Amino acid sequence: MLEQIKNEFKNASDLLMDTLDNGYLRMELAYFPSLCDERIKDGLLVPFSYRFDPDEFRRMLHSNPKYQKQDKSEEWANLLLKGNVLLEIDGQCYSFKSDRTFVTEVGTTQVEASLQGPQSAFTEDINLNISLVRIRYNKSILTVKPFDKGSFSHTSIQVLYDSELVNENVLKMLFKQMENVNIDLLQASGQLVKELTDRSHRLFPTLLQTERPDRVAVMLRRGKIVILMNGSRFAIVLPVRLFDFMHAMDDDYESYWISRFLIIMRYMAVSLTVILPAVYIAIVSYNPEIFRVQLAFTIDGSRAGVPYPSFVEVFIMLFMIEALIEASIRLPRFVGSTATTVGGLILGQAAQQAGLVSSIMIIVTSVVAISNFVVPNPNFSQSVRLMKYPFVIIAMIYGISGVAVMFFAMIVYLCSLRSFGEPYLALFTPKNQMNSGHGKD
Amino acid sequence: MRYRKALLFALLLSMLCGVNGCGFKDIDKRFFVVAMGIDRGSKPSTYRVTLRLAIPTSKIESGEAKTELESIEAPTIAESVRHIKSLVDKELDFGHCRVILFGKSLMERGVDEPLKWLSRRRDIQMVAFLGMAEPNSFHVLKLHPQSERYPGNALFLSFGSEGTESSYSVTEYLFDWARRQSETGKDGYLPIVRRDIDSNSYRVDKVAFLDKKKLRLCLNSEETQLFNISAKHYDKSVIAIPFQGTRVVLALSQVKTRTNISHSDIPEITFHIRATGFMEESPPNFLGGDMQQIQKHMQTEFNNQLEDLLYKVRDAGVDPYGFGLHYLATYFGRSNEWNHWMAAYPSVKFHVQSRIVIAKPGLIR
Repeated sequence: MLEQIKNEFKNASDLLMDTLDNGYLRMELAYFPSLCDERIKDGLLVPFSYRFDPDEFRRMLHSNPKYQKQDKSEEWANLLLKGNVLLEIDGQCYSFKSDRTFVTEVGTTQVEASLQGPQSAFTEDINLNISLVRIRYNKSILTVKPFDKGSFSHTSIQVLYDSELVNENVLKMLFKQMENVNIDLLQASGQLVKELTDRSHRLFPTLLQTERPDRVAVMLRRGKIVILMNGSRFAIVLPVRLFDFMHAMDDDYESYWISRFLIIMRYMAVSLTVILPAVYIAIVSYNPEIFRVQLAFTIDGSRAGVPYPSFVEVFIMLFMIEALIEASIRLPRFVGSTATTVGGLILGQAAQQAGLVSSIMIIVTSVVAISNFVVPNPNFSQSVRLMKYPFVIIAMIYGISGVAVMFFAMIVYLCSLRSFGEPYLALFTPKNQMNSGHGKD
Repeated sequence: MRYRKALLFALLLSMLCGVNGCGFKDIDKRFFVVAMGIDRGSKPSTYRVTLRLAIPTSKIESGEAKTELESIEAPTIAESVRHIKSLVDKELDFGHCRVILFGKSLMERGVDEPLKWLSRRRDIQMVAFLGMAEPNSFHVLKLHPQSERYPGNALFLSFGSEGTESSYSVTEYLFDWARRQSETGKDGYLPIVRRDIDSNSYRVDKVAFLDKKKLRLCLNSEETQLFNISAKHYDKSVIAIPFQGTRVVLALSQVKTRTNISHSDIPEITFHIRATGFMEESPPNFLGGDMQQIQKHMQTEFNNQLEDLLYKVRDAGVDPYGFGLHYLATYFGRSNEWNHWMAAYPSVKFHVQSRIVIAKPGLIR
């Protein structure tokens, strides 16, 4: 066995290969110490060395589920890379599962915070993630199907679904799509999302990524399919609708009127962040009669010193805010607050005092930026962030009527989208598909 | 293929740069017209158009509002507006023109042409307030009221229900007036705007009635209030009745009216009005506190007042109440009925039947 392994791993100097002899039995042993944990000591080395009993040792090899007979020599390399110990005793090859798990504690939510809901989030370890789901969805019909994707990374993927509630067509479509996944290094769930989406250029996400096990449980209950991936703390949910992206888990936990209020506010914020810069241009440059007369005069007065047309003003401010957002994501945490202070306070105030932009534009920019972060899902938030630019360009050319037509066009586009064959903008799904009593969002 | 697509996109983008929107004009390059006055010109069949233009400032204080007045004479309104454009440095914008005044002399000649121009322009809003300026609109628009916070504010607030709500000022919108000008059996009315005697505010307390062509009648302030109550159901007003040398004042809270027109040779119009309110001023121990008695007394007095007004309006040959329209709507017969009404209107009889309800006697001790 060792010869063959040696051939396959010619330059892997961290591979440990040894032949052990305790006087009764000879054992050939190969494993990566960096990939295996301490269990190897109690599980294999101690019974083999000073506690050795030939009968007990044989019994252990055959009865312990961690030991598997491995006859196919072509799988050995793969087993070693997955953190198994290979041993050969009396010409029979066994594997001992001893892979090191780095994450042993449940994570806390970081991008989908909740006020009073569960605070636990998925981790980068797939086994822990599955247990998180199983704890919440405690039913025997929860099916888990393993996959292995990435020709170089060999990332393990698990597809979870409730076999009674799941839509068979969607499942078939997913498995077909899974066949076509062709990635070398699969490292983030976003890559898988891209591969699973049928058209590559999409303005809106059609698969939901979430780090919350409670959301996954709710989605499973609604017959959706969940994909968990090793090394990613985000689960992928499909098929989804636009309203799933706008749904925060707190909406389910808050009292009825509060959650309704929050939902309405959220949709208003999204429409504001999408159309407000465009509406500013359209109203200031084409139809100032839409304002009340006081506001028209105030804007007129504050814009008096601005040298550029309104759309240049909008682009200056939008560029500044986008750069600021991007910087605060990428910057290390301890410099992050500096960026916000410099960007938000100094630039905003100074730009207005220098006469580069009007004071109303500062308000517009801040409303746009704040409203953008109201979206509970980061993917969707990014899409919304991008959507305002087509509106701005249209408003530049066609004014307020252009904005109205563009909004209509956006609705049409959303209607045309499909998430694994399911309509993206379906307001009401039939009762039999959605019987969790969860409300329409 | 990919390059061709990108090339096409770049081409489209470059074509986009060539397109500059036809209406693109920034707000700071526009001159907002806040009020417009149309007068009769010095030569026959010319107009004198006066525009009050707002000069915006970033700080807003009472009396600090700056405006510019431009006035020019031309054979038509359109020409004079074009001519005024050459006098100012920014593009004129009628989008916020909320007040349009006609001079009295123009009203006496007829306002058909100005109305056509106002209705045709898309940027003049149909919710603009109309008024008749006395003696002419240039004189009225020249006034700079002390209380004005932003340009044109004082005039906007005088009309409508945003600022002051006076029972002496009637409000007329452009859309309503345009309808009244074309509606059979219903005539237009306009508030009369004057300068106050001390020349620091406007005075809107009278109403002018027009038939389809020109000015026919101007009411005084008391009659204007009565018209406001009876025709517009204006309930923030008072009914004042003389009583033994003092006056009894009833503040209204609700007004309802109903009209019946009989179908006879000389139609008789019964005007029912029901007014609810509370006593705001009355002498102590008024009629012994007998409510029925008080109400009855007020009803007879009010009937007389209103009948006088109705006859006065009838005699001027105008119909701002829309009795003619009501008659046509009630009785079938189209043009025959209309001719009959036209002939009979100067001699129709009015019966006012008022019902005054004193909801609260205004007792203080």
